[in-house]
Amino acid sequence: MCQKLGLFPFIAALMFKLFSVTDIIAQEKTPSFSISGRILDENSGALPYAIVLIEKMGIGTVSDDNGYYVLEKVNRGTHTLTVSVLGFKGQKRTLTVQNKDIDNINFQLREEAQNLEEVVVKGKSGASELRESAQAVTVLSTKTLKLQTADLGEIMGSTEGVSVQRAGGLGSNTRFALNGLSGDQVRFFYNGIPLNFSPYAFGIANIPVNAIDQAVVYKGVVPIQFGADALGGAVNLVPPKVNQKLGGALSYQTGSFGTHRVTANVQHWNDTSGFFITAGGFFDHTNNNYKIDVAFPNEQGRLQQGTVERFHDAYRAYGAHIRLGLRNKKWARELSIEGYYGDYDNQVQNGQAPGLIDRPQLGIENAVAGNPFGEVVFTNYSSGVNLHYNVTLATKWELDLKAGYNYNERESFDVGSKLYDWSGEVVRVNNRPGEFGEADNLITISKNVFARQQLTYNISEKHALNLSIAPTYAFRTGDDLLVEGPFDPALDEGKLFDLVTGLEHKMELLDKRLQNVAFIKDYRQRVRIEGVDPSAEGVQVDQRSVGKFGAGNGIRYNWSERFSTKLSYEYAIRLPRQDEIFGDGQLIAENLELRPENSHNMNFALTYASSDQAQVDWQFQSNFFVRKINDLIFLLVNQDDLGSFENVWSATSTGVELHGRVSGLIEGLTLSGNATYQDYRNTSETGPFVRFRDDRIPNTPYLFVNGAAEYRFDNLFEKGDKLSLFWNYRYVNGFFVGWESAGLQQFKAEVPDQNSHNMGLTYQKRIKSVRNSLTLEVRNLTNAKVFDFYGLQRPGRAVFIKLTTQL
Amino acid sequence: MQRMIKIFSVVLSIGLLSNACSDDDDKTGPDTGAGEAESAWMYMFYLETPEGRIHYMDAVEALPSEANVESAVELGINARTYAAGEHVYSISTTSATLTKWKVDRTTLGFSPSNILSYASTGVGNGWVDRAVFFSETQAYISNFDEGLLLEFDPSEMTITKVHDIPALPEATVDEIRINQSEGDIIGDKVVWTLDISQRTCCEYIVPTGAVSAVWDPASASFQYNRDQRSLAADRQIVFDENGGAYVQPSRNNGFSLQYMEEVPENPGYTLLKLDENGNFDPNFSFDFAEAVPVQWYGRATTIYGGKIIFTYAEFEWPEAWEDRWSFYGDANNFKTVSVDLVTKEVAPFTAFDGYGETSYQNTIDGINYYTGFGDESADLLRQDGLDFTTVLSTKTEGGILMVAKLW
Repeated sequence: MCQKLGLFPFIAALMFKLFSVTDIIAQEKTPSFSISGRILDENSGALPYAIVLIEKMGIGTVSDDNGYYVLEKVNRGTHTLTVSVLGFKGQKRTLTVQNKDIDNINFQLREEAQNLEEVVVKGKSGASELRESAQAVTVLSTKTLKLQTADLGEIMGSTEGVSVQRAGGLGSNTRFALNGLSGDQVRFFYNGIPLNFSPYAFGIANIPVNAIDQAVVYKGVVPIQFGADALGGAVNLVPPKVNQKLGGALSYQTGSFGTHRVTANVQHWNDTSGFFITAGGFFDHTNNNYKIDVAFPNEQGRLQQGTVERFHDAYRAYGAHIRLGLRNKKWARELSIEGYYGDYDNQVQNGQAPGLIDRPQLGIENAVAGNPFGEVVFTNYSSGVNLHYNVTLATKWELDLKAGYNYNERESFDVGSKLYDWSGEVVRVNNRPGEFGEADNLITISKNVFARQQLTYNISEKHALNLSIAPTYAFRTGDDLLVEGPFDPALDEGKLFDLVTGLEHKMELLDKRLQNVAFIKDYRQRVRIEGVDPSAEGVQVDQRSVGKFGAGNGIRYNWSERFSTKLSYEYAIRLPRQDEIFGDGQLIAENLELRPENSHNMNFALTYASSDQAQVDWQFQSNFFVRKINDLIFLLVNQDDLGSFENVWSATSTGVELHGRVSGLIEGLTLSGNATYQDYRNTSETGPFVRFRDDRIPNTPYLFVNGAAEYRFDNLFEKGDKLSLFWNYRYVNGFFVGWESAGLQQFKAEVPDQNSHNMGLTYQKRIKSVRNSLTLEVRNLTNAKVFDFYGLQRPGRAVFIKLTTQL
Repeated sequence: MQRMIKIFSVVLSIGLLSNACSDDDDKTGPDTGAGEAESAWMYMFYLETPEGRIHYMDAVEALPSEANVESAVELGINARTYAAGEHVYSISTTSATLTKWKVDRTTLGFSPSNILSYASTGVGNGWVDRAVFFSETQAYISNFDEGLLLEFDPSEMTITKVHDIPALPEATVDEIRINQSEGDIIGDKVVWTLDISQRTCCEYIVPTGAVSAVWDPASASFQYNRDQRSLAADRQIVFDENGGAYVQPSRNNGFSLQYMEEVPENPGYTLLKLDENGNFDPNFSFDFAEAVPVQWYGRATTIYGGKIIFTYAEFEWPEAWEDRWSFYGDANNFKTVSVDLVTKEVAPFTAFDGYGETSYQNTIDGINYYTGFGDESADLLRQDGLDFTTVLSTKTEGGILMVAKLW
């Protein structure tokens, strides 16, 4: 076995993880102790999956994701510990165990003269393990992207299968779609818990890239531990890991449109006491005063086209979090508590449909003609606390428990009476306030509690069972500040209880070439709304309970070291929201018969890569997907604008995602690209959409292509520095706002094709142990007129500079 | 490796080419063959999409049995159309513009000929009232909340003047909402009836009565008229075959009577009449409640031969204001009847059976056209005979909102 470890340490690492060597030791009756510590690289970075052995005793273990290890059942006496991990020079240390456990036996390994990227892959980082699992995932590492100026929305949008439509610049409304499904059909998580239990509750696109290490996209098949009713998939954002000693990072970005973005995080772990602390914060501000084309009238109402700066679109957000706890204790692998706070203010320049005019024959081409807003503001703040407890209960049992409380308050403020033109001037003061059409000053408060309990039982080296119980309770109320009388529907109290329970069986067979994950999920929902209606006596109560089952399976088979396939399926559920069930008390009526949306999701993925010895390193991935979605919910409105949510339509999304990457063709050059084609079509057999059966789902792109190139100069000015030139390209096909088969094409509202280029350079230099980088980037290099939504022009050419420092 | 790049390129090329090919499918309009069309009808309808309701219009030589969905002109959301002479006008409240369309006499294809923007005038705060085309050079868009009357020249598509008129006093009361008004021409005046309703429960704020607004283009004078014989009026005036103009009750009156505290004694279901100057005729009123057990008054489709055809609802009111619209869930609650305005004799009217509600659209060549709203579609109905017993149906995918004859 030792010879194998020398040749294939990564294989041995996983074998150790599953072979439960400690079981053999457990049979001994002599007193035993433990040796624990951490395995780090030269930069004090954690080394996961390092093998720690006492060869004479035949015992060993593997370091966890954070480099920690615990070697148990060690007898009294003098022992030699051997530590090895691929790509690093191994170490041995002799120590004597007397009558107590020994802590803090740490190792710092030197990198061997190998390509670092190989080490990351072969060392089975968390990302690699996910990629090579049976899960249908895309793992996006932000290691390099953190140095660049793109925001998370743009980065996510460059991932295969993902479409991110933005209504404007930073802070604007975003539609995140995964293989066509969007909105509530895709769920977001931060470190495994719902995103709203974090300081980043204001939309995934606006989260600072430097606040996360990875974004993991689960496509249609979502692991049970998330405990969510995700119909189309989920995204989990992984924060930076806690390193030993003092670590941290600081970034500052500034540039066009008055943009300033600051992130900072610091972390420390005391390996003597086990105490650790991590804290971070961010601040974002932008005026978003980019130029757009508008059609403005003269006194006779004749339109002329011109270009103006947006004047009421500023966005400001800030937040902070602190987490502290203990690690690597016998009674807990981790016990931590985290507190966070986030706040944002967002000016609103226009409605979602600002009124585009596109009549080239009349001299107006893709220009906004509707009135701008000058005073509408949305604010939101969120705060809360999370607990995390992880413990190995027994040899084969592990418990991971997360729980949290969150308070969220949103306010919409639209009470302005002034009428603005696109130059920002007030042209009139109206009698009726409200720039959206009706005055609004609504506060919505939600108080949420969640728990995620995950219990793992490793049956054998090949089989494991995982039970996940995920209750979530949400209390929602509010106040319409414009209502003075006793009747205020916003004061209604809504109580929502979701319980998602999952059971998963995981097995690895055929020398780990085959991995299979099968699971079932049970969804329970109870909704209750209490309100006072002055026309009726007592408290009015509406309530409903619903239950639903789901199930799925994922299988991965490695045909060789270079070629693997994955096949995954889930019958996924989305439970209706409480406003979909009970309406708004005004024009939307309740529908207690509303059923959950459901979808049959399937993926088939192929991965083909170059051999380890190849000079040119390349990888090609493809994923074919099917989403067959039924009972989709739609607000049916009659001629009096009265309506209710109904299960009236269905759709099918089929498509293919392709991803390729190659490096080494020319030294320093890396090329990558991906393309997604999704055929997302209406399959309704009844309801208002039946006439358009087989039409594409409107207002949704169906072909998007991303390309990237990076050329890196090493040791340009001095030894150890790097200069990278990078270029990113994105193409999105044009698409219609309405049904494609309805209406003459020349009069149809169409979001045009989108071609955008970003280019920049990054200079990296290490000063002692501090890694510094400076990036200059031009976004939308060609100043293309780009739309994601009809009528909502996105920023043109912009220049940003970003400084990043990492300890 | 090269092979994979080729495969990758082929897949991308197919996608790009298929996208490019679709641009070649443009049509220029309905092809009716050589020669001018003898007649041209236009109609507007809407279609539901997952993104919301999108409006379309189409011009045809004869009304089709089904809407020409493929060959229609897409107008977008929040649109409305008008026909004046041979031209069609479409209003877009999102862009605050009015577009004038020319209809080709041979192909019946549409082409935009001019655009007028009212964005900076204040008449389009949210929605706008219906435009009233008074003459070839005079048309009006009103906003009584703001006290504005926009006069424009539809031939040139330019704003002539924005008249300052008295704003409706209720405009400053947050609990009161004026539903968009639909003006009509009565004699040489432009007349609107204003549906002023309560948006909140349960304290009745202002006993408005039936309100009309009258604009005299000749003298550029304006006035409001109120009549307390009705709780509040509907925004749609009903005309008889002789041009007599009637003011029907607001659809919100039933809610006021059921849920409001201290409701004024104004009758909730009174039909009033306007004289040729737009004033309320003091000698005419008709109480529907004396003829039928009305719980909720819907809307009248027409008045002919001294009989009014209207829809009302008869049901048990739910206790809570929030549930007030629940009666819409059962089509059996709705009844359409013919009532003699003199004898109060009630007769069932079966021609609209199968429709929850029916609304008047237009009178063309002396024949009335209606929209019958079904569960999932709306039919265009033609009055086919004076006894109102037969109708012709033109089924559309969405709801017909307007029909007109251009020539």
